[in-house]
Amino acid sequence: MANSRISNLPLATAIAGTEPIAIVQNSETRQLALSALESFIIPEPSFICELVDAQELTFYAPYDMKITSVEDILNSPTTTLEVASSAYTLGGNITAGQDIKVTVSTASVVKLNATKS
Amino acid sequence: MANLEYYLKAQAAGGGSSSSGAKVLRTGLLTSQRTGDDGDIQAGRDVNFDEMTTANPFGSVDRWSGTTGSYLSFPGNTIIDWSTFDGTTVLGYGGYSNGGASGSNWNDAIDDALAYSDGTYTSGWRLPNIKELQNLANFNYAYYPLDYYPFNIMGIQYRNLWSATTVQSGTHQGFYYEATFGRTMYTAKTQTAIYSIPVREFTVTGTVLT
Repeated sequence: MANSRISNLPLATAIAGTEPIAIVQNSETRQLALSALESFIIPEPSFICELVDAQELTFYAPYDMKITSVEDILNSPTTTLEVASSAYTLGGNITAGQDIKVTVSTASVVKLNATKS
Repeated sequence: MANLEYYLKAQAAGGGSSSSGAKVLRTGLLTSQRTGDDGDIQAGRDVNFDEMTTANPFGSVDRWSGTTGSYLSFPGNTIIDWSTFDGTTVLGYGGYSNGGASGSNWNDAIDDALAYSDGTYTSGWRLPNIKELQNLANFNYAYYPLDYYPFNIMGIQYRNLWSATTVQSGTHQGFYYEATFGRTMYTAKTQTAIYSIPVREFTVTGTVLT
């Protein structure tokens, strides 16, 4: 298969995550498992919170993360965040499974921008 | 690099589609005669008679806030009762115009309600049942439990209101809301000196009522 175009390679079937792929690192070609890319594929999740029917919402952190900013999408409410029943400061560490409570002052939609820790 | 967006929707109390399990409203009574009475315990749902624990879609906890976030007033407008909001629908009461100058009988009251129209809300009106009328009574008043804003238009405190509920032990009779003390009374459906207000169920989508 040397010197074959990628478009000429056979199609992969369902992937397991253990398949090796090649990257260039420190000027040499190295291999790593496909699953190692996972944390790079979703590095900055965001949570769009519709708070129209009710002005309070609680969800649970799906992984270790930090909320870095809050954007107003509909209306301009005062948004309050609590993590594990304590006031949250943007940029603070949130552990997977901790409850995140979002409260707004008026019916609105806000977007929480986060980074995975 | 690809990002992932999660969409989360907050639902009103009751799961957003049902009021199952909600407590009945408090009576509004604020003064107590003895320990253990209603004025002492003030049992029931919400902060007080006209203040909700959860803001409506317009961001107000006022029970009677209108569709623009402020009061709508009688006559000729609709009063939304946010205490009935289940996350999807809410009840609104129409202008106090049915029954003419001297009231009507039960059948005419039902016909008047079915024919009622207010602005773009031209259909879906009906005569409220007796519990929907009782839900409006504020027993903190010495007399006339409907004599409060926004229901205190001139004359309403002296007017009994037909309900759509028939007396099962005598189906020629209907229940009505007695205005002076807020009692549930009944009389022959041919009685003509009773007034009525229409009610309608509104579907709430965001801040739009249809």
